[in-house]
Amino acid sequence: MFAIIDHYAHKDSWLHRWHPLAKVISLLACVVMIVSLRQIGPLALALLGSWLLALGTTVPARAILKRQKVALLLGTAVLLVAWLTGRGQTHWQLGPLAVPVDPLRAAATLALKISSVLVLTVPLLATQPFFVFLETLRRLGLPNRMVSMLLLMSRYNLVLADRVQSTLRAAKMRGLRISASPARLRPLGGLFGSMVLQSLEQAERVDQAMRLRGFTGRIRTSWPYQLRPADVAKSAAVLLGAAILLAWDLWR
Amino acid sequence: MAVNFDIECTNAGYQPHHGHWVLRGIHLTAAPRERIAVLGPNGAGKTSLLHMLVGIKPIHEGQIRVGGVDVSQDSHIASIRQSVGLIFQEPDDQLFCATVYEDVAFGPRQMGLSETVVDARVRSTLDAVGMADQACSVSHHLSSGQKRRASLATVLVMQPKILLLDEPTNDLDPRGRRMLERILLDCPQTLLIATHDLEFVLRVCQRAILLDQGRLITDGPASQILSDARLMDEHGLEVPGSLRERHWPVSSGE
Ligand SMILES: Nc1ncnc2c1ncn2[C@@H]1O[C@H](COP(=O)(O)OP(=O)(O)OP(=O)(O)O)[C@@H](O)[C@H]1O
Ligand SMILES: [Mg+2]
Repeated sequence: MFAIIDHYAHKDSWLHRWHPLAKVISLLACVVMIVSLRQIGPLALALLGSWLLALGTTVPARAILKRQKVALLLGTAVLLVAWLTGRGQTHWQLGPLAVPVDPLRAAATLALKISSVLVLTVPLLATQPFFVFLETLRRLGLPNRMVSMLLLMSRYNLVLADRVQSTLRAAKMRGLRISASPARLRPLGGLFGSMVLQSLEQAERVDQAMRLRGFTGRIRTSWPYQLRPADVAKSAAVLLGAAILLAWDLWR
Repeated sequence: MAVNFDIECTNAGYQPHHGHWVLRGIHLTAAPRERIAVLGPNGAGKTSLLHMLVGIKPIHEGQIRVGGVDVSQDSHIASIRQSVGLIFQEPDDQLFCATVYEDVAFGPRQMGLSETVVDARVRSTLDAVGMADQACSVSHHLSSGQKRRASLATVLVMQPKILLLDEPTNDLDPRGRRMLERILLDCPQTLLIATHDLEFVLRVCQRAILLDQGRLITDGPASQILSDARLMDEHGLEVPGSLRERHWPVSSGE
């Protein structure tokens, strides 16, 4: 998820040129509106709109598509649970197959919501340096401490994932077998313990490195942005689109 | 005082968790623009010494003054950190931003420099360490040697008065080593370099100190210490090849 942060930040598009404050506020508002939609039609259009925005960022479609897996997975899970617990009353008869309509609708709604929100994180995160995004959040009132935490998390995500992978690989090369027996699980516990410890120690060293480079609690970053009429127009257009979907959802 | 030393350790000691002394009785002075190698076997206390100089590790005994300022006083730490740059042994500790550019720009921005100055500094430093093409790369995905170069840049860009380098040549290819040599020979800073790369020491440092088991064993001209076969052997090191071939000490290579 964090892999695309900053990777496309220095490309150029209308989304890159959008004032970060205007962009973050508008897109976060869109997220709220999408989450409150209840019907398949408006949600499908919201997903389409999110995709259009994401594709406008120069991030390749394949990278965006990767973010949809979670949504499909969760949707399927909801479908299965609803189906198994027998809560679907209406059925469509598809040949020999009785398709429960309500669980299907619930699953689709959830999957569409999650998809749209995940796709929206692309224009939100990938169109300015991560520092600028953090500074935007700070200007919107997020405390300095949270901002620093987000910065570290963005990096730690990668370090931690790598560490888990390389520790497991090293342990497997030395004969570790993963299975459910308690005797086999014990070394795994020790392994994770040491990984957590290592990560904590590294977090401390990174904190020291940040302080050595002048960090005193607030990240300073460049802010060469000025709000122009074009920024307001972009925000207005995006918010109007979201508002129309919301209205459609409410009055249908 | 006649001479103003950049670094002054008087009987300095470090004893974590009241256990054994990792460093004890360290006396060391460094004059401005001196280039000093910190030698010693694994676990000798080289890294600990560098960390004490910037106040990351506490001083449990004696005194350390950096740039004339007492390190053990918390109120001085900020000013010391402005004038001292430390390059960590592990580049992963040093790089904490998403891209190389952001990482290198972090320090200058914290110093409150204008974005034009920051940009100019970042670009020239990345150029100097041969990473200009990787400015937008994700730090985490670099090779080890590239990470080393990037972490070097993050400190050089701040133009500190004193540079502390912990194993700076690790992971560098021969060209990278030569580049580092050139940068260090050209730089106006006082240098303290903890390293096992003895050939590198011969070419860059005039002076060396040798630590073993937390004690300062000797302090003198690098070529003299490095060519002392008995001393080197006693402390788990060896005379570098270039000195063995010639059988006599050479002056530090400038
Ligand atoms: N916080 C600590 N707690 C306990 N022991 C420590 C601590 N810090 C350092 N040590 C011990 O101090 C000794 C010196 O460590 P240091 O990292 O300074 O060695 P070094 O000379 O840099 O070694 P290397 O060449 O392997 O990098 C080691 O034995 C280490 O275990
Ligand atoms: Mg060390």
